[in-house]
Amino acid sequence: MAGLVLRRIRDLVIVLFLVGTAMFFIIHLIPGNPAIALLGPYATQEQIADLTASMGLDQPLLTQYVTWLGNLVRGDMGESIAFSGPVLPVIFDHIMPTILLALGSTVISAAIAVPLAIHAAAKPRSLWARLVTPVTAFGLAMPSFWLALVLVLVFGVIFRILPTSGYVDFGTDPGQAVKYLVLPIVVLVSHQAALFVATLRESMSGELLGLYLRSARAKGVKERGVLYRHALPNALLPAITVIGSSFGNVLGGVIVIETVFSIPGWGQLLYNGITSRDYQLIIGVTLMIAVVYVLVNLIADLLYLVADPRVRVR
Amino acid sequence: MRTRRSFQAQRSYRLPRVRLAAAGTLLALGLAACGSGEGSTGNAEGSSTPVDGGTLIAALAGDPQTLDVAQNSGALTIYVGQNVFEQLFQFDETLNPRPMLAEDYTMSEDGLTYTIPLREGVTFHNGEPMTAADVVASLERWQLVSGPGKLVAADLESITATDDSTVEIVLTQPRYSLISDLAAYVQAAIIVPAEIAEAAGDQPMSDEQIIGTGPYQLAEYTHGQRILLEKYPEYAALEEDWGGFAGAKEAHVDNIEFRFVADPTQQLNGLRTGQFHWAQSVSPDQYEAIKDDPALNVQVTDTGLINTVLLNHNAESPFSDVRARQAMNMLIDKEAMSTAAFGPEVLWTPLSGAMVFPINEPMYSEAGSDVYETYDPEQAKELFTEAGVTADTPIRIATTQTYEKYYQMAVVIQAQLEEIGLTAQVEVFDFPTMIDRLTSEPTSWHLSMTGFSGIPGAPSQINYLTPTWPGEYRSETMDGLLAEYNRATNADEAYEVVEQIQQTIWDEIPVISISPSKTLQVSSSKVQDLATFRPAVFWGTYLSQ
Repeated sequence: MAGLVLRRIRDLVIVLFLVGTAMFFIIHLIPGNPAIALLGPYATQEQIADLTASMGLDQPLLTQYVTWLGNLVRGDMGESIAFSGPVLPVIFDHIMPTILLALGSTVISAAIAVPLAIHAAAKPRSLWARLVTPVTAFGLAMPSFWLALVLVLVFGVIFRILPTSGYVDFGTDPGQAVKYLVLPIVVLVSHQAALFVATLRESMSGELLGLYLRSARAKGVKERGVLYRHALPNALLPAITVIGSSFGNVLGGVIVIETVFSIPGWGQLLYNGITSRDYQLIIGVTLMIAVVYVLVNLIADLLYLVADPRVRVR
Repeated sequence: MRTRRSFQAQRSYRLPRVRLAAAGTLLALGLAACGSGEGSTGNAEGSSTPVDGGTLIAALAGDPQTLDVAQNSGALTIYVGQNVFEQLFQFDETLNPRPMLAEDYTMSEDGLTYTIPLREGVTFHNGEPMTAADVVASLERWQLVSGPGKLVAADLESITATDDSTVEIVLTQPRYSLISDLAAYVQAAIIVPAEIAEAAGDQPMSDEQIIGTGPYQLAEYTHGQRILLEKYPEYAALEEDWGGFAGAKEAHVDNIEFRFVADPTQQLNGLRTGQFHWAQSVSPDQYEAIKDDPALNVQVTDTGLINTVLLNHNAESPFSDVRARQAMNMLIDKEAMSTAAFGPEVLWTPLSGAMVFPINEPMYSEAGSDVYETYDPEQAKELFTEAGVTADTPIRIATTQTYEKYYQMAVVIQAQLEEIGLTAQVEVFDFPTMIDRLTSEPTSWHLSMTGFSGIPGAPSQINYLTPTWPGEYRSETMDGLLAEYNRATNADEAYEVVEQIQQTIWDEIPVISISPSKTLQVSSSKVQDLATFRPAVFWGTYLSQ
């Protein structure tokens, strides 16, 4: 297990280097620069050039890259222009909403998906089993911003039972916090749960053909036990991988969700960073998303070890 | 009123000095019964006695990044900053400059020396009194960081404090527009404490340095989330009100909270459900659907931008020939284009071809409107042929879908060009990229579109008349008129030149003004006495119970 963790840490360093380098050059390819954003649309060319120079952004790109990389190695992610301060504390200040959204939607999706998938696999002739394919396809195909706006219209504007946008911290008012998180999480869950159901149902259907289940039934294990204790742990293996990687997708997807719902997390931070060409902030957030992605997949691999003794032996 | 206390847990930028200054007076706030809200600017919505108190929650389309209105020219910065900062002179509702932090001014016979006594009793949000030294330092910085400031700097001999409360400006040549330049609201000559002006220099002022003299002071700026302004209890209000940005500014609501909501639909949803009181960018397409909604105040502002077709005068462009520019003007049916591109009629009338809005008295002229009104595709075709523009040389239109209307304009122009047998190539960029390309790649485009302020204070504040603006318009006639304007000694003389400038614009066609573009300002029906001069002028506004 220690070997696995070490390997993953090595991978993390490589991933960070590649992601950081790619982001550095990609964002510098976007036309415009922070000086334009700071000066607004009516600034003269002269003003823009002056401010660009005073921010050190008129240096050759490679020089800027080497400086940036040198600082990163020393753990310095640079300064955000909008926040006029180091990037790292800004990113940690905005971590909570994003983690709540990503973790909340993943846990809820899994909790919903497991019984639904098992039911569909165990009773292939039932109504639900027939509906599961179109329903999950719908969930996967719906654009999240569209669903978000429809839900806001129905529950926020027409029935007025949920706020249309905003965010309240859990520490301040847990009741309000939950109210503000309901719609964004529902939007994320609609996609994630559909993905989990589709995957888990497939693997579960495969597992149900296993002869060891017949043995279990012959030994008198109740059907419920057969499904949840014997078949599910095996069927979960491919699902763990899907859940791990979908957590990464959710981190990417929160950009849209946080922008629509005005939630002050990493997504909004990234969106604002891009519109104002806050280079260090954009790279910082992207790197942190990469870190979380790698960590979550490490956890998924460790769970694999727990769930499947064969992997441990190998 | 529910407040979002959650923000306290986030990283926020509390301003200790301001807080301390305010803390001592917070208790007195309730006792300081303000007089009745006489002469509030703008509309006649709600005629009852103004109620003090409450928090006005305004949905802003994005984080302004900086509140330094001296340097940043963007609307987000101005909307917040106009409630915080003041200038020596500011425009009234007919765009005449009025003394705000100045008491008055006198100009010497030769037009070179301006003596400006300052108003007594004005204090900054940090509690310090405003002195001539602060004004001198602020105006020095303004020359470093502001477009209008740099223009003034070219004619400037010196700015000195002759005593604690008098400033003297000496010019090298007469500049009639000086007072209007000082009153310009884009990259404005705001007055801040001297130590802040000196510390900030040519860099944007940091959040801790946002200290003005206005009716509201910055209490908290949590980047990415919100800006909280609070009433400045020591605000030295003028007695008389002239509307616009000038005169008596009475703060009725205790706090103004700007929240950043990028999505226009969500801004409107928030208004409908009472989460917000004001929204910056409700789509004009919603106008018909919401104008009769009793829960909303739907207003059209008196000011805004002038929708404009940019012509490239670069030698490589067909529009370096005045005949091609005249042809382009004749080819555009302004009313048809406005109907197609700018939404409901209230937002783009009256059509007059003027370079400014009708309320801009010192600058409004209809000279040359006959040229503007000529719509004649046949003659346009002939003129294009004379200028050597054929179907083999496609006209390159650079536009953007960031603002849908500019894209619609491009499509209309493309169709009209093709109707007379010419070809056009439409290239679409995001707005900042488009603006960047117009300057950095001057041979890559022939036509483009944007908006210019419809309430400039002087011809020098009209960007396209300056040769640094994309399009490279240069004209001896225009330069001569701009110089003549600055030699004017009174309003009548100046206005005569303005008429000639407007006529020359339609003779030489540096750009084609299409129509005014007014702003839709939507607020909840709880918001009373909201000014229609410009969006987000929140003094004089109150919340009904």
